[in-house]
Amino acid sequence: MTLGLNNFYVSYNNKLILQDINLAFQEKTVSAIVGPSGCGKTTLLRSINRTAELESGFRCNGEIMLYSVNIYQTKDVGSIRRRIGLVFQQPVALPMSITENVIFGVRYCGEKNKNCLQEINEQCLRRVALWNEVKDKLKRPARELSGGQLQRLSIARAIAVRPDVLLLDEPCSSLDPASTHMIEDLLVDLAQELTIIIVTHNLIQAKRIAQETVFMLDGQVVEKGPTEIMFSNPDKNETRDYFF
Amino acid sequence: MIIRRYLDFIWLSLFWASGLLILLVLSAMLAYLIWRGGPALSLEFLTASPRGIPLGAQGGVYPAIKGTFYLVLIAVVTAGIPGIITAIYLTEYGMQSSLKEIVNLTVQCMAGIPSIITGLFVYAFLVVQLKWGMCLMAGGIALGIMVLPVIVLTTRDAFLAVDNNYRWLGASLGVSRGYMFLRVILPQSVPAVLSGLLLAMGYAAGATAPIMVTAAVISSNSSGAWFEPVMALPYHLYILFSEHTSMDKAYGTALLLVLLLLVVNIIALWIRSWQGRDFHNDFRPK
Repeated sequence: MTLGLNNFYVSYNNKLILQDINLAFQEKTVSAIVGPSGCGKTTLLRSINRTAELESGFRCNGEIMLYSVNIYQTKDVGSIRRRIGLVFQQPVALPMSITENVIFGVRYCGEKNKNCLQEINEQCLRRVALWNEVKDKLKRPARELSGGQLQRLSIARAIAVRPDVLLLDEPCSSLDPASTHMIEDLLVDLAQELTIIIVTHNLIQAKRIAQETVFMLDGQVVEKGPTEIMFSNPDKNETRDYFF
Repeated sequence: MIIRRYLDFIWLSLFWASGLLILLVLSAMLAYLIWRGGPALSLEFLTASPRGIPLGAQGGVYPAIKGTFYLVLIAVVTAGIPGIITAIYLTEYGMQSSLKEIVNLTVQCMAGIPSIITGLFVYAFLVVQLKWGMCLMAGGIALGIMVLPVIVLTTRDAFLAVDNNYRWLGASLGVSRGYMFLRVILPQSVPAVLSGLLLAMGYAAGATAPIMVTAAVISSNSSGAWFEPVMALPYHLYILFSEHTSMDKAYGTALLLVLLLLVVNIIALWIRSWQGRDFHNDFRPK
Protein backbone atom coordinates (compact mmCIF):
# COMPACT_ATOMS: atom_id res chain seq x y z
CA MET A 1 0.00 0.00 0.00
CA THR A 2 1.33 3.39 -0.99
CA LEU A 3 -1.30 5.66 0.38
CA GLY A 4 -3.89 5.08 3.03
CA LEU A 5 -6.57 7.21 4.62
CA ASN A 6 -7.87 6.23 8.04
CA ASN A 7 -10.96 7.83 9.56
CA PHE A 8 -10.19 11.01 7.69
CA TYR A 9 -12.49 14.00 8.22
CA VAL A 10 -12.33 17.48 6.69
CA SER A 11 -14.37 20.52 7.56
CA TYR A 12 -14.33 24.09 6.37
CA ASN A 13 -15.63 26.69 8.81
CA ASN A 14 -17.24 23.87 10.79
CA LYS A 15 -19.06 22.54 7.77
CA LEU A 16 -18.24 18.89 7.29
CA ILE A 17 -17.00 18.21 3.74
CA LEU A 18 -15.44 14.76 4.08
CA GLN A 19 -16.41 12.24 6.70
CA ASP A 20 -14.87 9.02 7.80
CA ILE A 21 -12.85 8.34 4.69
CA ASN A 22 -11.09 4.99 4.79
CA LEU A 23 -9.21 4.15 1.63
CA ALA A 24 -6.09 2.29 0.62
CA PHE A 25 -4.40 2.78 -2.72
CA GLN A 26 -2.10 0.09 -4.04
CA GLU A 27 1.32 0.84 -5.42
CA LYS A 28 1.67 1.36 -9.18
CA THR A 29 -2.00 1.27 -9.98
CA VAL A 30 -4.51 3.70 -11.41
CA SER A 31 -7.46 4.38 -9.15
CA ALA A 32 -10.41 6.46 -10.18
CA ILE A 33 -12.60 8.50 -7.86
CA VAL A 34 -16.05 9.16 -9.26
CA GLY A 35 -19.15 10.81 -7.90
CA PRO A 36 -21.50 13.72 -8.50
CA SER A 37 -20.30 17.34 -8.37
CA GLY A 38 -19.82 18.66 -4.88
CA CYS A 39 -19.31 15.28 -3.25
CA GLY A 40 -15.87 16.26 -1.99
CA LYS A 41 -13.62 14.64 -4.60
CA THR A 42 -11.52 17.74 -5.17
CA THR A 43 -11.25 18.43 -1.43
CA LEU A 44 -10.08 14.87 -0.98
CA LEU A 45 -7.31 15.29 -3.56
CA ARG A 46 -6.27 18.63 -2.12
CA SER A 47 -6.18 17.15 1.36
CA ILE A 48 -3.89 14.37 0.16
CA ASN A 49 -1.64 16.96 -1.51
CA ARG A 50 -1.87 19.10 1.64
CA THR A 51 -3.01 22.21 -0.23
CA ALA A 52 -6.58 22.07 1.09
CA GLU A 53 -5.29 23.64 4.29
CA LEU A 54 -4.37 26.85 2.45
CA GLU A 55 -7.99 27.87 2.37
CA SER A 56 -9.21 29.51 5.53
CA GLY A 57 -11.35 27.57 7.95
CA PHE A 58 -9.78 24.21 7.08
CA ARG A 59 -9.69 21.54 9.76
CA CYS A 60 -9.02 17.85 9.47
CA ASN A 61 -9.03 14.80 11.61
CA GLY A 62 -7.76 11.28 11.19
CA GLU A 63 -4.67 10.28 9.28
CA ILE A 64 -3.30 9.99 5.79
CA MET A 65 -0.35 7.64 5.55
CA LEU A 66 2.17 7.82 2.72
CA TYR A 67 4.01 4.53 3.22
CA SER A 68 4.79 4.80 6.91
CA VAL A 69 4.60 8.58 7.18
CA ASN A 70 1.57 10.34 8.57
CA ILE A 71 1.58 13.31 6.21
CA TYR A 72 -0.35 15.58 8.57
CA GLN A 73 2.28 15.13 11.24
CA THR A 74 5.20 16.03 9.03
CA LYS A 75 6.81 19.43 9.48
CA ASP A 76 8.19 19.62 5.94
CA VAL A 77 4.97 20.26 4.03
CA GLY A 78 6.87 21.09 0.83
CA SER A 79 8.43 17.66 0.56
CA ILE A 80 5.06 15.97 1.15
CA ARG A 81 3.54 18.07 -1.63
CA ARG A 82 6.33 17.07 -3.96
CA ARG A 83 6.00 13.40 -3.10
CA ILE A 84 2.26 13.60 -3.81
CA GLY A 85 1.91 15.65 -6.99
CA LEU A 86 -1.35 17.27 -8.03
CA VAL A 87 -2.50 18.14 -11.55
CA PHE A 88 -5.37 20.60 -11.79
CA GLN A 89 -8.48 20.49 -13.89
CA GLN A 90 -7.46 23.65 -15.74
CA PRO A 91 -3.85 23.29 -16.87
CA VAL A 92 -1.70 26.19 -15.66
CA ALA A 93 1.08 27.56 -17.82
CA LEU A 94 3.53 29.46 -15.68
CA PRO A 95 4.56 32.66 -17.47
CA MET A 96 7.85 31.23 -18.65
CA SER A 97 9.26 28.92 -21.30
CA ILE A 98 8.24 25.31 -21.81
CA THR A 99 11.51 24.07 -20.37
CA GLU A 100 11.32 26.37 -17.37
CA ASN A 101 7.81 25.09 -16.71
CA VAL A 102 8.95 21.48 -16.64
CA ILE A 103 11.94 22.07 -14.38
CA PHE A 104 10.25 24.65 -12.14
CA GLY A 105 9.99 22.37 -9.14
CA VAL A 106 13.37 20.77 -9.72
CA ARG A 107 15.05 24.17 -9.90
CA TYR A 108 13.33 25.13 -6.66
CA CYS A 109 14.80 22.06 -5.01
CA GLY A 110 18.23 23.43 -5.75
CA GLU A 111 19.32 21.57 -8.87
CA LYS A 112 21.61 23.96 -10.75
CA ASN A 113 23.52 21.69 -13.10
CA LYS A 114 22.48 22.69 -16.61
CA ASN A 115 23.01 19.27 -18.17
CA CYS A 116 21.09 17.62 -15.40
CA LEU A 117 18.19 20.05 -15.76
CA GLN A 118 18.16 19.57 -19.50
CA GLU A 119 18.13 15.84 -19.07
CA ILE A 120 15.20 15.98 -16.65
CA ASN A 121 13.42 18.27 -19.06
CA GLU A 122 13.81 15.91 -22.01
CA GLN A 123 13.05 12.83 -19.96
CA CYS A 124 9.83 14.26 -18.55
CA LEU A 125 8.64 15.64 -21.86
CA ARG A 126 9.28 12.27 -23.49
CA ARG A 127 7.48 10.59 -20.64
CA VAL A 128 4.31 12.59 -21.39
CA ALA A 129 4.73 12.16 -25.17
CA LEU A 130 5.23 15.87 -25.68
CA TRP A 131 8.89 15.88 -26.66
CA ASN A 132 8.42 15.42 -30.39
CA GLU A 133 5.86 18.19 -30.52
CA VAL A 134 7.86 20.80 -28.64
CA LYS A 135 11.53 19.89 -29.01
CA ASP A 136 12.09 22.73 -31.51
CA LYS A 137 10.42 25.39 -29.38
CA LEU A 138 11.52 24.63 -25.86
CA LYS A 139 12.32 28.27 -25.26
CA ARG A 140 8.90 29.49 -26.38
CA PRO A 141 6.38 30.61 -23.73
CA ALA A 142 4.36 27.67 -22.47
CA ARG A 143 1.08 29.51 -22.94
CA GLU A 144 1.44 29.05 -26.72
CA LEU A 145 0.66 25.35 -26.30
CA SER A 146 -2.80 23.92 -26.91
CA GLY A 147 -4.98 22.76 -24.02
CA GLY A 148 -4.08 19.12 -24.44
CA GLN A 149 -0.39 19.88 -24.73
CA LEU A 150 -0.58 22.12 -21.68
CA GLN A 151 -2.20 19.39 -19.63
CA ARG A 152 0.59 17.03 -20.61
CA LEU A 153 3.09 19.75 -19.71
CA SER A 154 1.42 20.02 -16.30
CA ILE A 155 1.89 16.29 -15.82
CA ALA A 156 5.52 16.58 -16.90
CA ARG A 157 6.04 19.37 -14.36
CA ALA A 158 4.44 17.29 -11.63
CA ILE A 159 6.51 14.16 -12.33
CA ALA A 160 9.76 16.12 -12.73
CA VAL A 161 10.12 16.24 -8.95
CA ARG A 162 9.79 12.44 -8.81
CA PRO A 163 6.62 11.99 -6.76
CA ASP A 164 5.45 8.65 -5.37
CA VAL A 165 1.83 9.48 -6.02
CA LEU A 166 0.24 11.54 -8.75
CA LEU A 167 -3.22 13.00 -8.19
CA LEU A 168 -5.21 14.32 -11.12
CA ASP A 169 -8.36 16.39 -10.76
CA GLU A 170 -10.49 15.85 -13.85
CA PRO A 171 -7.50 16.40 -16.11
CA CYS A 172 -9.45 15.82 -19.30
CA SER A 173 -12.62 17.75 -18.62
CA SER A 174 -11.69 20.61 -20.96
CA LEU A 175 -9.96 18.53 -23.62
CA ASP A 176 -11.02 17.11 -26.96
CA PRO A 177 -11.34 13.32 -27.37
CA ALA A 178 -7.95 12.90 -29.05
CA SER A 179 -6.09 14.73 -26.28
CA THR A 180 -8.13 12.85 -23.69
CA HIS A 181 -7.09 9.58 -25.23
CA MET A 182 -3.47 10.60 -25.23
CA ILE A 183 -3.58 11.46 -21.54
CA GLU A 184 -5.32 8.22 -20.68
CA ASP A 185 -2.61 6.20 -22.46
CA LEU A 186 -0.02 8.27 -20.72
CA LEU A 187 -1.50 7.62 -17.28
CA VAL A 188 -1.63 3.89 -17.86
CA ASP A 189 2.00 4.07 -18.90
CA LEU A 190 3.00 6.19 -15.90
CA ALA A 191 1.32 3.74 -13.55
CA GLN A 192 4.26 1.41 -14.13
CA GLU A 193 6.24 3.73 -11.89
CA LEU A 194 3.75 5.73 -9.89
CA THR A 195 0.57 5.39 -7.95
CA ILE A 196 -2.07 7.36 -9.80
CA ILE A 197 -5.36 8.63 -8.42
CA ILE A 198 -7.64 10.37 -10.86
CA VAL A 199 -10.88 12.18 -10.17
CA THR A 200 -13.16 12.00 -13.14
CA HIS A 201 -16.71 12.70 -14.17
CA ASN A 202 -16.30 10.42 -17.12
CA LEU A 203 -17.30 6.91 -16.06
CA ILE A 204 -16.08 5.43 -19.32
CA GLN A 205 -12.71 6.93 -18.60
CA ALA A 206 -12.62 5.30 -15.19
CA LYS A 207 -13.55 2.01 -16.81
CA ARG A 208 -10.84 2.36 -19.45
CA ILE A 209 -7.86 3.14 -17.25
CA ALA A 210 -8.51 2.37 -13.59
CA GLN A 211 -7.85 -0.90 -11.82
CA GLU A 212 -9.85 0.28 -8.85
CA THR A 213 -12.76 2.66 -8.63
CA VAL A 214 -14.01 4.63 -5.64
CA PHE A 215 -17.55 5.97 -5.59
CA MET A 216 -18.19 8.99 -3.39
CA LEU A 217 -21.41 10.65 -2.37
CA ASP A 218 -21.99 13.58 -0.01
CA GLY A 219 -18.48 13.54 1.40
CA GLN A 220 -18.44 9.85 2.10
CA VAL A 221 -17.01 6.84 0.34
CA VAL A 222 -19.92 4.65 -0.68
CA GLU A 223 -18.00 1.85 -2.24
CA LYS A 224 -14.57 0.93 -3.49
CA GLY A 225 -13.55 -2.07 -5.51
CA PRO A 226 -11.98 -3.43 -8.66
CA THR A 227 -13.28 -1.46 -11.60
CA GLU A 228 -14.87 -4.42 -13.44
CA ILE A 229 -16.88 -5.35 -10.41
CA MET A 230 -17.89 -1.78 -9.67
CA PHE A 231 -19.21 -1.46 -13.20
CA SER A 232 -20.86 -4.85 -13.46
CA ASN A 233 -22.06 -5.78 -10.05
CA PRO A 234 -21.65 -3.15 -7.33
CA ASP A 235 -22.73 -3.85 -3.78
CA LYS A 236 -24.58 -0.70 -2.93
CA ASN A 237 -27.77 0.64 -4.40
CA GLU A 238 -26.42 4.22 -4.55
CA THR A 239 -23.57 3.04 -6.76
CA ARG A 240 -25.98 1.16 -8.97
CA ASP A 241 -28.17 4.26 -9.33
CA TYR A 242 -25.24 6.41 -10.29
CA PHE A 243 -23.51 3.96 -12.63
CA PHE A 244 -26.46 2.59 -14.53
CA MET B 1 -41.58 48.52 -23.89
CA ILE B 2 -41.84 52.17 -24.87
CA ILE B 3 -41.19 53.25 -21.30
CA ARG B 4 -38.19 50.96 -21.09
CA ARG B 5 -36.78 52.46 -24.23
CA TYR B 6 -37.22 55.97 -22.84
CA LEU B 7 -35.57 54.92 -19.60
CA ASP B 8 -32.66 53.50 -21.54
CA PHE B 9 -32.36 56.76 -23.42
CA ILE B 10 -32.39 58.78 -20.21
CA TRP B 11 -29.74 56.56 -18.65
CA LEU B 12 -27.54 56.79 -21.69
CA SER B 13 -27.88 60.56 -21.77
CA LEU B 14 -26.92 60.70 -18.10
CA PHE B 15 -23.78 58.66 -18.75
CA TRP B 16 -22.82 60.84 -21.65
CA ALA B 17 -23.51 64.01 -19.70
CA SER B 18 -21.38 62.86 -16.75
CA GLY B 19 -18.53 61.91 -19.02
CA LEU B 20 -18.73 65.22 -20.83
CA LEU B 21 -18.86 67.11 -17.55
CA ILE B 22 -15.62 65.54 -16.36
CA LEU B 23 -13.96 66.28 -19.67
CA LEU B 24 -15.28 69.84 -19.56
CA VAL B 25 -14.05 70.53 -16.04
CA LEU B 26 -10.59 69.24 -16.83
CA SER B 27 -10.23 71.02 -20.13
CA ALA B 28 -11.66 74.27 -18.73
CA MET B 29 -9.12 74.22 -15.91
CA LEU B 30 -6.29 73.39 -18.24
CA ALA B 31 -7.34 76.02 -20.78
CA TYR B 32 -7.62 78.67 -18.11
CA LEU B 33 -4.22 77.79 -16.70
CA ILE B 34 -2.65 77.88 -20.14
CA TRP B 35 -4.27 81.23 -20.87
CA ARG B 36 -3.23 82.82 -17.60
CA GLY B 37 0.02 80.98 -16.92
CA GLY B 38 1.30 80.22 -20.40
CA PRO B 39 3.02 83.57 -20.90
CA ALA B 40 4.94 83.16 -17.62
CA LEU B 41 6.52 79.90 -18.71
CA SER B 42 9.93 80.54 -20.13
CA LEU B 43 13.38 79.07 -19.95
CA GLU B 44 14.28 81.60 -17.29
CA PHE B 45 11.19 80.66 -15.28
CA LEU B 46 12.32 77.05 -15.25
CA THR B 47 16.00 77.65 -14.55
CA ALA B 48 16.25 80.79 -12.38
CA SER B 49 15.70 81.38 -8.68
CA PRO B 50 12.91 83.69 -7.53
CA ARG B 51 13.87 87.35 -7.37
CA GLY B 52 12.21 90.74 -6.88
CA ILE B 53 10.32 92.43 -4.10
CA PRO B 54 8.33 90.79 -2.71
CA LEU B 55 10.37 87.69 -3.41
CA GLY B 56 8.99 85.72 -6.32
CA ALA B 57 7.63 88.67 -8.26
CA GLN B 58 10.39 88.07 -10.74
CA GLY B 59 12.76 85.27 -11.66
CA GLY B 60 11.85 81.62 -11.76
CA VAL B 61 10.99 78.56 -9.73
CA TYR B 62 14.02 76.33 -10.26
CA PRO B 63 14.66 75.69 -6.53
CA ALA B 64 11.00 74.81 -6.09
CA ILE B 65 11.18 72.24 -8.91
CA LYS B 66 14.31 70.78 -7.34
CA GLY B 67 12.78 70.79 -3.86
CA THR B 68 9.60 69.07 -5.02
CA PHE B 69 11.70 66.47 -6.82
CA TYR B 70 13.70 65.68 -3.66
CA LEU B 71 10.61 65.64 -1.45
CA VAL B 72 8.83 63.21 -3.77
CA LEU B 73 11.88 61.02 -4.02
CA ILE B 74 12.22 60.74 -0.25
CA ALA B 75 8.48 60.15 0.09
CA VAL B 76 8.39 57.34 -2.44
CA VAL B 77 11.46 55.65 -0.98
CA THR B 78 10.36 55.89 2.66
CA ALA B 79 6.80 54.79 1.86
CA GLY B 80 7.61 52.46 -1.05
CA ILE B 81 9.67 49.97 0.90
CA PRO B 82 7.25 49.35 3.80
CA GLY B 83 4.30 49.79 1.42
CA ILE B 84 5.41 47.07 -0.96
CA ILE B 85 6.40 44.74 1.87
CA THR B 86 2.98 45.24 3.46
CA ALA B 87 1.31 44.45 0.16
CA ILE B 88 3.37 41.27 -0.16
CA TYR B 89 2.26 40.26 3.31
CA LEU B 90 -1.39 40.98 2.51
CA THR B 91 -1.48 38.99 -0.72
CA GLU B 92 1.04 36.20 -0.20
CA TYR B 93 1.34 35.44 3.49
CA GLY B 94 -1.66 36.78 5.37
CA MET B 95 -4.19 34.44 3.74
CA GLN B 96 -5.59 32.94 6.90
CA SER B 97 -4.44 35.43 9.46
CA SER B 98 -6.66 37.85 11.29
CA LEU B 99 -3.75 40.27 11.37
CA LYS B 100 -4.40 40.71 7.65
CA GLU B 101 -7.83 42.16 8.38
CA ILE B 102 -6.35 44.53 10.93
CA VAL B 103 -3.68 45.67 8.50
CA ASN B 104 -6.27 46.16 5.77
CA LEU B 105 -8.42 48.22 8.08
CA THR B 106 -5.46 50.29 9.25
CA VAL B 107 -4.46 51.06 5.69
CA GLN B 108 -8.02 52.13 4.84
CA CYS B 109 -8.07 54.38 7.88
CA MET B 110 -4.71 55.86 7.01
CA ALA B 111 -6.01 56.73 3.57
CA GLY B 112 -8.72 58.78 5.27
CA ILE B 113 -6.44 60.88 7.46
CA PRO B 114 -6.52 64.51 6.30
CA SER B 115 -3.04 65.39 5.04
CA ILE B 116 -2.82 68.48 7.25
CA ILE B 117 -3.04 66.20 10.28
CA THR B 118 -0.19 64.10 8.95
CA GLY B 119 1.73 67.37 8.58
CA LEU B 120 0.88 68.38 12.12
CA PHE B 121 2.00 65.03 13.51
CA VAL B 122 5.32 65.11 11.68
CA TYR B 123 5.77 68.72 12.78
CA ALA B 124 5.16 67.88 16.43
CA PHE B 125 7.24 64.72 16.42
CA LEU B 126 10.15 65.24 14.03
CA VAL B 127 10.41 68.99 13.64
CA VAL B 128 9.86 69.97 17.27
CA GLN B 129 10.36 66.91 19.48
CA LEU B 130 13.38 65.48 17.70
CA LYS B 131 14.59 69.02 16.90
CA TRP B 132 15.04 68.32 13.19
CA GLY B 133 13.65 71.75 12.37
CA MET B 134 11.80 72.29 9.11
CA CYS B 135 13.71 70.20 6.62
CA LEU B 136 13.62 68.10 3.49
CA MET B 137 13.66 64.86 5.48
CA ALA B 138 10.68 65.81 7.65
CA GLY B 139 8.66 66.91 4.62
CA GLY B 140 9.58 63.79 2.67
CA ILE B 141 8.49 61.59 5.56
CA ALA B 142 5.23 63.53 5.95
CA LEU B 143 4.51 63.01 2.26
CA GLY B 144 5.56 59.38 2.64
CA ILE B 145 3.02 58.82 5.41
CA MET B 146 0.42 60.42 3.19
CA VAL B 147 1.12 58.22 0.16
CA LEU B 148 1.77 54.99 2.10
CA PRO B 149 -1.83 53.75 1.88
CA VAL B 150 -1.92 54.61 -1.83
CA ILE B 151 1.18 52.52 -2.40
CA VAL B 152 -0.07 49.62 -0.28
CA LEU B 153 -3.42 49.53 -2.05
CA THR B 154 -2.15 49.89 -5.64
CA THR B 155 0.62 47.36 -5.02
CA ARG B 156 -1.73 44.94 -3.31
CA ASP B 157 -4.11 45.16 -6.25
CA ALA B 158 -1.19 44.63 -8.63
CA PHE B 159 -0.26 41.39 -6.86
CA LEU B 160 -3.88 40.29 -6.58
CA ALA B 161 -4.33 40.80 -10.32
CA VAL B 162 -1.85 38.00 -10.99
CA ASP B 163 -3.61 34.72 -11.75
CA ASN B 164 -4.24 32.97 -8.45
CA ASN B 165 -3.78 29.58 -10.12
CA TYR B 166 -0.03 30.25 -10.13
CA ARG B 167 -0.10 30.36 -6.33
CA TRP B 168 -2.08 27.14 -6.14
CA LEU B 169 0.25 25.49 -8.59
CA GLY B 170 3.31 26.63 -6.65
CA ALA B 171 1.83 25.31 -3.43
CA SER B 172 0.91 21.96 -4.99
CA LEU B 173 4.53 21.59 -6.12
CA GLY B 174 5.77 22.30 -2.60
CA VAL B 175 7.35 25.57 -3.73
CA SER B 176 7.65 28.22 -1.01
CA ARG B 177 5.59 31.39 -1.22
CA GLY B 178 8.67 33.56 -1.28
CA TYR B 179 10.16 31.72 -4.25
CA MET B 180 6.84 31.76 -6.03
CA PHE B 181 6.51 35.47 -5.40
CA LEU B 182 9.97 36.33 -6.69
CA ARG B 183 9.90 34.02 -9.70
CA VAL B 184 6.31 34.40 -10.87
CA ILE B 185 4.12 36.94 -9.07
CA LEU B 186 6.54 39.87 -8.94
CA PRO B 187 7.74 39.68 -12.57
CA GLN B 188 4.10 39.61 -13.63
CA SER B 189 3.16 42.65 -11.61
CA VAL B 190 6.17 44.92 -12.14
CA PRO B 191 4.34 47.29 -14.53
CA ALA B 192 1.37 47.72 -12.22
CA VAL B 193 3.63 48.25 -9.19
CA LEU B 194 5.72 50.85 -11.02
CA SER B 195 2.68 52.70 -12.27
CA GLY B 196 1.25 52.67 -8.75
CA LEU B 197 4.49 54.17 -7.42
CA LEU B 198 4.37 56.86 -10.11
CA LEU B 199 0.77 57.73 -9.28
CA ALA B 200 1.80 58.03 -5.64
CA MET B 201 4.63 60.33 -6.70
CA GLY B 202 2.19 62.52 -8.57
CA TYR B 203 -0.05 62.60 -5.54
CA ALA B 204 2.88 63.59 -3.32
CA ALA B 205 4.16 66.24 -5.73
CA GLY B 206 0.87 68.12 -5.60
CA ALA B 207 0.27 67.94 -1.86
CA THR B 208 0.73 71.15 0.09
CA ALA B 209 -0.59 70.57 3.58
CA PRO B 210 1.97 68.00 4.81
CA ILE B 211 4.94 70.14 3.79
CA MET B 212 3.66 73.55 4.87
CA VAL B 213 4.81 73.12 8.44
CA THR B 214 7.50 70.52 7.98
CA ALA B 215 9.72 71.41 5.05
CA ALA B 216 8.70 74.16 2.68
CA VAL B 217 9.93 77.72 2.96
CA ILE B 218 9.59 80.84 0.86
CA SER B 219 13.19 80.91 -0.19
CA SER B 220 15.85 78.25 -0.24
CA ASN B 221 18.29 77.00 -2.81
CA SER B 222 16.94 73.46 -2.20
CA SER B 223 20.41 72.02 -2.10
CA GLY B 224 19.05 68.58 -1.31
CA ALA B 225 20.72 68.42 2.11
CA TRP B 226 18.54 66.22 4.29
CA PHE B 227 18.19 68.59 7.18
CA GLU B 228 17.80 71.86 5.30
CA PRO B 229 14.44 73.35 4.41
CA VAL B 230 13.47 73.40 0.72
CA MET B 231 11.21 75.23 -1.67
CA ALA B 232 8.40 73.24 -3.24
CA LEU B 233 6.12 73.97 -6.18
CA PRO B 234 2.72 73.70 -4.48
CA TYR B 235 3.85 75.73 -1.47
CA HIS B 236 5.47 78.33 -3.71
CA LEU B 237 2.22 78.59 -5.61
CA TYR B 238 0.31 79.00 -2.35
CA ILE B 239 2.59 81.84 -1.25
CA LEU B 240 2.51 83.57 -4.62
CA PHE B 241 -1.24 83.89 -4.72
CA SER B 242 -2.09 84.12 -1.03
CA GLU B 243 0.33 87.02 -0.59
CA HIS B 244 -0.57 88.49 -3.98
CA THR B 245 3.09 88.46 -4.86
CA SER B 246 2.53 87.94 -8.55
CA MET B 247 -0.55 86.40 -10.09
CA ASP B 248 1.25 85.84 -13.38
CA LYS B 249 3.98 83.84 -11.70
CA ALA B 250 1.37 82.01 -9.62
CA TYR B 251 -0.49 80.85 -12.72
CA GLY B 252 2.81 79.96 -14.36
CA THR B 253 3.71 77.81 -11.36
CA ALA B 254 0.27 76.22 -11.34
CA LEU B 255 0.49 75.38 -15.02
CA LEU B 256 3.94 73.92 -14.54
CA LEU B 257 2.73 71.75 -11.66
CA VAL B 258 -0.27 70.51 -13.61
CA LEU B 259 1.84 69.72 -16.66
CA LEU B 260 4.32 67.81 -14.49
CA LEU B 261 1.51 65.76 -12.94
CA LEU B 262 0.01 65.14 -16.36
CA VAL B 263 3.32 63.81 -17.63
CA VAL B 264 3.79 61.61 -14.57
CA ASN B 265 0.29 60.19 -14.95
CA ILE B 266 0.69 59.55 -18.64
CA ILE B 267 3.96 57.72 -18.00
CA ALA B 268 2.21 55.70 -15.30
CA LEU B 269 -0.55 54.71 -17.71
CA TRP B 270 1.99 53.84 -20.36
CA ILE B 271 3.94 51.61 -17.98
CA ARG B 272 0.69 49.99 -16.93
CA SER B 273 0.05 49.05 -20.55
CA TRP B 274 3.15 46.82 -20.43
CA GLN B 275 1.15 44.45 -18.28
CA GLY B 276 0.95 41.05 -19.82
CA ARG B 277 4.26 41.19 -21.62
CA ASP B 278 6.65 38.40 -20.78
CA PHE B 279 9.20 39.49 -18.28
CA HIS B 280 10.35 36.03 -17.41
CA ASN B 281 13.53 36.20 -19.41
CA ASP B 282 14.71 39.26 -17.54
CA PHE B 283 14.08 37.80 -14.12
CA ARG B 284 15.36 34.30 -14.61
CA PRO B 285 18.09 33.30 -12.21
CA LYS B 286 21.34 33.01 -14.13
